[in-house]
Amino acid sequence: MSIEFDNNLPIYLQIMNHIKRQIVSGLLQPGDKIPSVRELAADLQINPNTIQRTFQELEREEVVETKRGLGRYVTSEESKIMAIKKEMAGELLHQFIHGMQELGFKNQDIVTIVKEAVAAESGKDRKEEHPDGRASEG
Amino acid sequence: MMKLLKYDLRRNANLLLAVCAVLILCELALILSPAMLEVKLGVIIVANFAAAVIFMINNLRVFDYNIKSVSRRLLPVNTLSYVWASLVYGILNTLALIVIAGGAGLYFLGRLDASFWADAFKLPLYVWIGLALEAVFTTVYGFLMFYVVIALARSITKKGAFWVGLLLFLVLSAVMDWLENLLFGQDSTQPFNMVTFHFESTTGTITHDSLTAVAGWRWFGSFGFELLLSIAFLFVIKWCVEKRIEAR
Amino acid sequence: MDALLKVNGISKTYGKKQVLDGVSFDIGPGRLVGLLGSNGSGKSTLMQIVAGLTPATAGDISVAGEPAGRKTKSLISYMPDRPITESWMKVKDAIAFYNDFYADFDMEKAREMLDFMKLDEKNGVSVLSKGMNERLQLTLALSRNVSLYLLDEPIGGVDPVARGKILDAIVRFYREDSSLIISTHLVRDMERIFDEVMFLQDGRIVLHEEVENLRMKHGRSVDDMFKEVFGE
Repeated sequence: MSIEFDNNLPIYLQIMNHIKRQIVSGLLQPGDKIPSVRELAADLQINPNTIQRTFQELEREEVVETKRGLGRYVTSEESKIMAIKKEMAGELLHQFIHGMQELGFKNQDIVTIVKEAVAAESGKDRKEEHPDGRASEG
Repeated sequence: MMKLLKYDLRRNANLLLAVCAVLILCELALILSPAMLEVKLGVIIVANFAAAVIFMINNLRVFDYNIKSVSRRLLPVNTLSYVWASLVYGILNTLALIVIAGGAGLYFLGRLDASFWADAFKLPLYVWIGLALEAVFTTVYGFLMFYVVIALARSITKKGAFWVGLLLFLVLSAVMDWLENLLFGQDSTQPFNMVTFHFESTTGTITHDSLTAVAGWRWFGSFGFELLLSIAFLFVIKWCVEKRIEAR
Repeated sequence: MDALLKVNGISKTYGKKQVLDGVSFDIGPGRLVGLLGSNGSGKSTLMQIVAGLTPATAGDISVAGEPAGRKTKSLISYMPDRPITESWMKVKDAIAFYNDFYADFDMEKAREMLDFMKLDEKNGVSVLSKGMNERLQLTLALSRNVSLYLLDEPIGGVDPVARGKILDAIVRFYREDSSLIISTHLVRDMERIFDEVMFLQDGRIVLHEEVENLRMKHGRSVDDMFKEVFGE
């Protein structure tokens, strides 16, 4: 696992987002085991306490749960995973809308453009025959 | 302390073994050579003396290394262990030399006029013990004086420690001599304080039965003085190493 | 939680030059701390004082409540910025040396780390490259189970491959109840492994902060802050 980290922003947040993305995209399935603090720290060459903090936050948000003696696991609650999706989508949307507004688009134009873009993407998808059969998000 | 000693020996093994080997070869070569007996004796004595000097300098460098090198100073050992390890190291080297010299000595024993030495062997045992003890003590005292000078020199300065040390040594030994003389009226030209050798000579040459020895008690004051000094040296060394000398 | 290391008013003068001026800080257990400063800023001197190799001109230090002295040597593992192995030694002799003298030395951990660092026991230390030597020094220092590790420039002057290995080893062999203080001027490579950093400038600690707080408060990396403070 190698992630590009931005040293200007808190690392633990970046790792949290990374793990959430992995959950949302299915790379980490509900109920999957997460690497231990030590493993992850060694993999990423990051301070173990930072990883610890990440896990604590993820637990607080109930994204992961600790099973005593066994380790940490992704939550198996689908509702929770959906909530994460929405939260991450929310951020994406927020960034997207601001980005578009900075480019000078008005709100109605943004909606129209999005509709066109989604249709175009779906068409491309059908032609390329997306391997896992899922339609891409956004 | 034993561990320090072990590693000191291993680190210097090449030098120590080389000197011993060269010395033994020298002695063998001389013994087998057709030179005159007196010449052989002379050269062997010089060779042994040279080896002794090399060992002595090596010992001082071992002590110096122990008190200033980072790897030694990090070790969780008693500060005085460095002193004990170096002393034992010196004693072991000396023993080795004695054995080698003794080996050569055996050769000469049969050949030279050894009557003089035969007299010496007639001396009472307690005299021998006294001599041996005094020899050991004097050696230890001498080494301690060198050690304390090295420790002080390293405490005072980083560069030029050698010259500072030399100066300190000359000053210190001069002061000690003067003090001993003052306090005990001892003549420091005598090699042994405990035992005085008397040569009785009627004909101007050393003959049989001319050697007697008396173990006197006047040495006690001088001995006590040097013993106290030795203890003082140990304290000074300890203080220097713990409070003043930077490891490099 | 009581501080593992308490440094109180440490000053060091060499003749007229004041290298350290009233340095004070506390380090708790389980922390990875960066001691940052430009070259010659006194980082090495400070570490040597904590390790008991150099006497301070003023101030005192305590490790786990014990004042610095013979007992604390057993609590501290120090890796100097220069190799300290003796030239007659092979790698296995260097390991044996540590094993002989330090009761807390973990032989198994050492062998594991030698393996990890790709060091061969049979090699003489004098034939090791600089990078390999650093790896050996690190192996020796980290194979001891102590409360406080002091690493002086563990990745300075070492090729990037060795650097990666060394950082990896530091993180991998980290223990939760002990702390590491690592001094370096290569901030960018190392900032991700620090919990907190201290900036040492002109002999004084001008900043002592948790790294994530720095990022959150100032929105800047430690490297950027370093450049700002030390004006490179």
